[in-house]
Amino acid sequence: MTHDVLTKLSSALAGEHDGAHPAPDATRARIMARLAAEQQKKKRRWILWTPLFALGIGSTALAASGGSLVSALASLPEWFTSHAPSQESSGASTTVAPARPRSEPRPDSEPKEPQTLREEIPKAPGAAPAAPAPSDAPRSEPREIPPSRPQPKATAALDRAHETRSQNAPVLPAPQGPQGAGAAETPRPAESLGLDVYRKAHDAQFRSRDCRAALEGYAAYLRQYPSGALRLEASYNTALCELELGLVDRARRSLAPFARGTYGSYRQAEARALLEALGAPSSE
Amino acid sequence: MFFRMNTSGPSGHLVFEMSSLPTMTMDASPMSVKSPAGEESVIARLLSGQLSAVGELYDRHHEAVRRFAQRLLGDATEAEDLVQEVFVRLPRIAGSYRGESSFRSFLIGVTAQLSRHHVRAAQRRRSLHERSAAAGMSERPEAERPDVQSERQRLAKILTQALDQLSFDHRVAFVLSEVEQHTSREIAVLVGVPEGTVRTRLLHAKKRLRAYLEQEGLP
Repeated sequence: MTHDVLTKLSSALAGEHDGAHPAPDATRARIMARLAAEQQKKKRRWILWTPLFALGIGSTALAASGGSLVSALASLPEWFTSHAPSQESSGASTTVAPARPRSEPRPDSEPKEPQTLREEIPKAPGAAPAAPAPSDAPRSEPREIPPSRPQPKATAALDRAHETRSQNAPVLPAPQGPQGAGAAETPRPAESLGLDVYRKAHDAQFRSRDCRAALEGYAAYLRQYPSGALRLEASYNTALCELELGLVDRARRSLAPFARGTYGSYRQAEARALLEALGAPSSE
Repeated sequence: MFFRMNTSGPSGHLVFEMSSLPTMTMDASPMSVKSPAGEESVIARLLSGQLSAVGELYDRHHEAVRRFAQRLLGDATEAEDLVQEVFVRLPRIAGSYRGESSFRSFLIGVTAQLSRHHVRAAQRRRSLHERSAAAGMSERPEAERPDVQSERQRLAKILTQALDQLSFDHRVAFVLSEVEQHTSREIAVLVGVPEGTVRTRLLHAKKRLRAYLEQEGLP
């Protein structure tokens, strides 16, 4: 094999292809057609996007000049935080068991809440049939529930109510969780939504077991944030506190909307059971 | 895919970079052939976005581009597709042409860089033809037809088949050097690699081609 062979082959290849084409104008026409089509496409893109872009810029400028842009931007974090708990609660209602560990890392809080109520309900006026006389109760609050009432039934209903309440805990313990774990300060951006107010009331109810303070706290929350994310919880807990304080009539009034289904099925069964146990009609 | 142009070094090299292809450096000195008179204005019109300039540049250079494409690919159909691709992309890549070399050299360099997948397509087409010919499914090869039979055609076909054994870079280097008769320095400019690399590629390409031709029993 010599170098000449490659040279010979190369010159043969060069001579074979001279760049001629039977119809070079056809290729030219194809090229020009493709370029024209691409240009049209580009134009259409401009026609489509320019007004949209201008609309976006214009509306932003208008909002900025009217001052609503700042408020809209400021409300963004609020919007996100207000949607976050609702997602948690919906998740908790569908999957009860997995929701618990997230919001209840506190080993003592779960047993405490029902236990507290179980202990305190008998203390309510004539609550437990086997309990000591109502006069033994250390509480000084007026006892309005008559002793003749079927209190064991009410206690059981309250127990059930609190059972399900603690099962659906993610709604409630969301603000409470960090406190239960001892980390009182959680820099949540949702402080402005009244979670701090709610948390105080919740702690008063389930930690310090001060139902009066809890009642005031829930009332404050509902007064300041009538459409707050936790208004239903606050209302329901208010009813529980009223019941514990022996304010049975107020408790009935508070539970009635839940039993009627004003808030959908939220706490409806528990409220009905409680009202039934208290001797009130479940639906008015 | 877009070209990006940089000036690098004191010698005023121009660097053309395509996003997926190797860098191509253009130097004024090796390409002494200047663009024909009046071509600057056509290029200026091209750069200003006038599509009619593409047509004019096609008229001026299509033969050179097609010739190189045919020699590199060994397939007229694929070469035509490559020519079309080069000129369709021209408005987008013309901005990287600085005018230090002839526009034809620039187009040849672009053709070389865009030809990678066309080479593969041409190879696939050839192997398909060979398989179908072996199976007796196709008509008689052109070389066997008395009217077109010629020694040159046979040799060109042999070399095209041999070129299929080379890598893309070696193939481009060999065709530019041995068929298109460019010097190593010019190839280095067109392909965008050092001159030494071009020489090495040529050496390996020839070695591989000789081995293949010997293996095939060719003189």
